[in-house]
Amino acid sequence: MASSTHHFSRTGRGTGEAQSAKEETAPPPSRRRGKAAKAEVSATERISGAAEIILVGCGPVAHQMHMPALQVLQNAGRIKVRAVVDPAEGWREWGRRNFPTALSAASIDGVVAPPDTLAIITTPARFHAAQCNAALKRGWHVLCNTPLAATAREAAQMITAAQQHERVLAVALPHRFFPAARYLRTLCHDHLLGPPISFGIHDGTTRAAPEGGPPGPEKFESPDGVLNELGVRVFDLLTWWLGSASVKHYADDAMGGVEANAFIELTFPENVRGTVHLSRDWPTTQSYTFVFERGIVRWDATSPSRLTLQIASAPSALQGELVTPLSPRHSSVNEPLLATHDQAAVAELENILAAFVRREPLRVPATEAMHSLHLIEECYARRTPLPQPWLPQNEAVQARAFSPPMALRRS
Amino acid sequence: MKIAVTGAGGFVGARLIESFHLGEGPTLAAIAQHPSEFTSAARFAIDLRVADFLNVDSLARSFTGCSAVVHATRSAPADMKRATTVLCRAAAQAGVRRIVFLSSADVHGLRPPVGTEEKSTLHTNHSDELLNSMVIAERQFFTECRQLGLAGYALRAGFLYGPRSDAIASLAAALQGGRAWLVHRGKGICNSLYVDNLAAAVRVALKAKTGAGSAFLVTDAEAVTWHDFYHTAAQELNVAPSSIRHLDATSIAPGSAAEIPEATAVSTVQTPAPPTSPFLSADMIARQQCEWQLPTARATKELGYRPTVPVAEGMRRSCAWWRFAQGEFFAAA
Repeated sequence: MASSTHHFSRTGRGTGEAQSAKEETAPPPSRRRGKAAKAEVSATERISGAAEIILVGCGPVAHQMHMPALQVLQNAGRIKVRAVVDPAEGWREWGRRNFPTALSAASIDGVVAPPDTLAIITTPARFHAAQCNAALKRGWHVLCNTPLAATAREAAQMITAAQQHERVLAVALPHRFFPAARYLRTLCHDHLLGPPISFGIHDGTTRAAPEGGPPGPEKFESPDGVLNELGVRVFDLLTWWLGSASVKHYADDAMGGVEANAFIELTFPENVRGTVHLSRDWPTTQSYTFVFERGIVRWDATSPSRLTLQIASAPSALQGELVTPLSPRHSSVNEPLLATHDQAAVAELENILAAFVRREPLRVPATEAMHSLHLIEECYARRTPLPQPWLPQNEAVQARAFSPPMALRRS
Repeated sequence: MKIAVTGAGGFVGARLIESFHLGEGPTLAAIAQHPSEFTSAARFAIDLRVADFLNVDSLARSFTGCSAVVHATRSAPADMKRATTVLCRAAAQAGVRRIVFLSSADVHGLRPPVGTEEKSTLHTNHSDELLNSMVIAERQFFTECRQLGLAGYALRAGFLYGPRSDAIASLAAALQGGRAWLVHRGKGICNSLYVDNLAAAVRVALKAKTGAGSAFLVTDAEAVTWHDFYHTAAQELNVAPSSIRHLDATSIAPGSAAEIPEATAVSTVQTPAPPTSPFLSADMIARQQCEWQLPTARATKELGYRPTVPVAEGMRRSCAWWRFAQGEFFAAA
């Protein structure tokens, strides 16, 4: 992906972002086949006003990632949350607090909804494939949280199933809508500060029990590891910015379970190298630092649009928020700058609705999720135990004994 | 024997689980109020259970199959007494016979009077509501244990530190940022307790044949001053000890100072002021004026408590973790 866009910038065929934006879109299923498109138009016409949404999974992820955007769009009359689905009654009712008119069901089987409903799946990754297929069989479109599936193989099967059912399958990657992420992509692709040389990323937050939420369900699924929780997003951005990656070194602290900390060393085309530090048990700086030939850029990832920029040997660095370009003639895009995560989530959801209601191109189709899934699987395949020099010697020995290759743990 | 550890997501609970699982046992059930708290415990193939800590039936279900409970959860002050009642009744309902209740030496105040020991009278007139709630919770614990016939042990932990502790994180950040302050030249007694020494106390309390129904003060073996504590950390972090700044305690109204104006500070070095303003919490100012080393004689005699990790080693391990948490892995590798 990156190599082709590098090609565009060097041959002067496009102005980076605009060209890249074209590349990253994919035609919705309804554009691909004439008859099918007509059938879908008919179905679309049946949607009277608001598109209907089924929220599958009502835990903290749904509350943090999707509910604010859904509330905005429901208040605007753009959507209607028809049902909330979760096997845990407490979480289901917690979801209904935000959408009191929604039906409540323990599983998708308990929901009746017309075709062209959008199912938003926020459950743990190991349930995505089965739930996605159930939704597609009902004629629903699907927005799936990251990671798209537990394995790349499952994800590929989901993509094939969506194509066969001629439904939209999208993956939730609102970070791609962040102004800072798009800015960094332009720098990487168009070499505005020269070619990228290296990067260093620290991304870590602790899991917090949801405020105002019910106690967790007594029957619960073990949490995902940090690669599937945070790494999938970091890897998606990196491959979007820099192209396909290879894992040079990977270490984590799983000792029979799932990892809370991971260190990864990656290489990219044109000899770009970098390191990623992920943590789920201690908050890190959440910074993305890129060294280019003629400057350094740091993104504070807690803000969608805050960057620090050092140009070549300038005496100081410059820190601030991205704003509308001073001159439209010198900008490659013409879209609003999104200041918050929720705004990005709204933009993402609007794009998905437009994809199946108005047949507009999908900006982040599910196929884009394959890059990060492949990279995660490569990490696990090359896994080494993370040294933990704070452990007493006897515990360090035992920790290594409890650290089999990830391939064994995932089977 | 399976042991239930509540508070699996906290610094102490997570380390107890790690230490027991990687050490010599016992077998564990890690219990938390929400799946999101299992980040650390889920690194191991162990029994993870979710329970409502304010619901007897829910908590009792999570204790199923366990012979003892280590209670490493601290509820909000308003819920602390009720949560303690629920803990004991759930344990009794589940057939658990022994509870090790992690209390705090702070029940004696942040600056315990000279002569303080386990039998010293506790009061609820502390200015900090959290301390009063802890006193009430500990009293409730013993009352419930007596009524329900449970063997209850309360460990009053000293100033806890270790990997993944806020104490180390805030001290390391302060040292590295040139914001570390000592009151009265750091002459106060720290009453430190490395988390693995607490784990050692928990182990002996789980096996003790005497001492049920009692509270035990637990600290490190050495009587460490705050000066020693800070300087040991500075050495581990390669921070010049001269960067630690000093505050004249005589200028502080008891329990009042939260932020120190630059004018009251006495710097030991003639260097430019640190880039960020100095800060020392009222809590820390009180702690640093402690003049009494809390005795561990009762824990030693009745439980067989033996702290095995010296402060220097505890600080080495703590700072090794801090460097890791700051992303120094690649530099080390």
